[in-house]
Amino acid sequence: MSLTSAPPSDAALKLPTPSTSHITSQPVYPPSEDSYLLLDAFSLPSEVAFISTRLPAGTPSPLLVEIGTGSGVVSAFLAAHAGVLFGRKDVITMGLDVSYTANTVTTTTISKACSEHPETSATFLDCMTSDLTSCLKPNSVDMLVFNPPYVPTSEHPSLSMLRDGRQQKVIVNSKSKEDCDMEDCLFSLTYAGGDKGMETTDRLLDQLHEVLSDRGVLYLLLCAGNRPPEVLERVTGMDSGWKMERVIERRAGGEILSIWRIYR
Amino acid sequence: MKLLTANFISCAVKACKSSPLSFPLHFRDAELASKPVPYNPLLLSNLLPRLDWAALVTSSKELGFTLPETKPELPRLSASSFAATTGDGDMNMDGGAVGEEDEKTLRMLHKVLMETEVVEGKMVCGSCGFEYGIHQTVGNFLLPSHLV
Repeated sequence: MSLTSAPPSDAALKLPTPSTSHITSQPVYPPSEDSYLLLDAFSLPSEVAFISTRLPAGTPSPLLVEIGTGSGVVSAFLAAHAGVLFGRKDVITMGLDVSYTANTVTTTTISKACSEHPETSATFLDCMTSDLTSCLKPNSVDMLVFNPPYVPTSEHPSLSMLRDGRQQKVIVNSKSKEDCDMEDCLFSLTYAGGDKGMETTDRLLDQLHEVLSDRGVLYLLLCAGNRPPEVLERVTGMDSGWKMERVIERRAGGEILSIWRIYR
Repeated sequence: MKLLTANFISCAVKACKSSPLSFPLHFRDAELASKPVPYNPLLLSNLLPRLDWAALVTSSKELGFTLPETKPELPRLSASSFAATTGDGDMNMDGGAVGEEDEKTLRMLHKVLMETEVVEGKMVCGSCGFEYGIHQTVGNFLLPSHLV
């Protein structure tokens, strides 16, 4: 290949990655290979075209929601560059996570990124503590993003410690036994997906018809252990004619990660 | 939690989702703060069609704001009119400026919906009565195990 050849017209956009330097020792999932694969997926010109056709400028303002925001890097990227990635900046965004600490961290990540890109940024509303999208009004979400706990594990962590304990607080530098137990619980929730790594994702797919708007689209990350062909078969077999298409795939460490878009 | 957010959430209890009483959740014991948000008239204009106005009037009333009983009729702004906006001031719409009355309505909506934030408080379901806490602006909608 010639070094002087012009880049192909389908070259990915190069948009700055949001800063997460305010995260020190809070127990949240740090920006990782899977997070960056999502950023790369949304930077593909083909994806920009898909989203701006699905949610065209001039139609009612889209609601973007991310489940399991962790550090907030993915939501912050989409929110800060909405004018480019959606072709419109009248987009509202929300983050949902079971961890109160993740929600406070994400709020900062998104707010900082948006204030650094005022000319393209969406309007960030809130982060909320929620199990998947259970707190949302049905059929409201126009774009849903989920980087799930996808690692196949023999046990699937329970949410009971978060559900039944006291009001969660921000955890930094865990010292007490209580904080350390909570940190262990939060850590396992970031990756452990139970059987085939699909236990949490399956719960979302079950509810998807009640979550997305008619024009809504889910961006979902899978690893090879989730057996994407089986997920594809399941999704396209659900009522009301769902489509599932692979956006990008990458080998990362010992894993093969892929991002899929799912819509009606 | 911003006042606008209340227009997108309902009770997390599964059995409540089909009940009209589960939306909107009702604010209680709310401590408010005003947080500056960049004024975005294009967003307001494109958001209005999808908002549940009656629910918004209810939520606003609970936080001490009075919105008109019927959804304001605002001209639909386009991205090109948005591009013609100078600073956060004059907005062109179909070649003309936004009327003074419309501008006043947009500013009022911006202040109430976007800049009003509940820092501490509760949201209560009108169907099952469950109280969700809001702490440091973050709403907690994780239900206790016995309600899942």
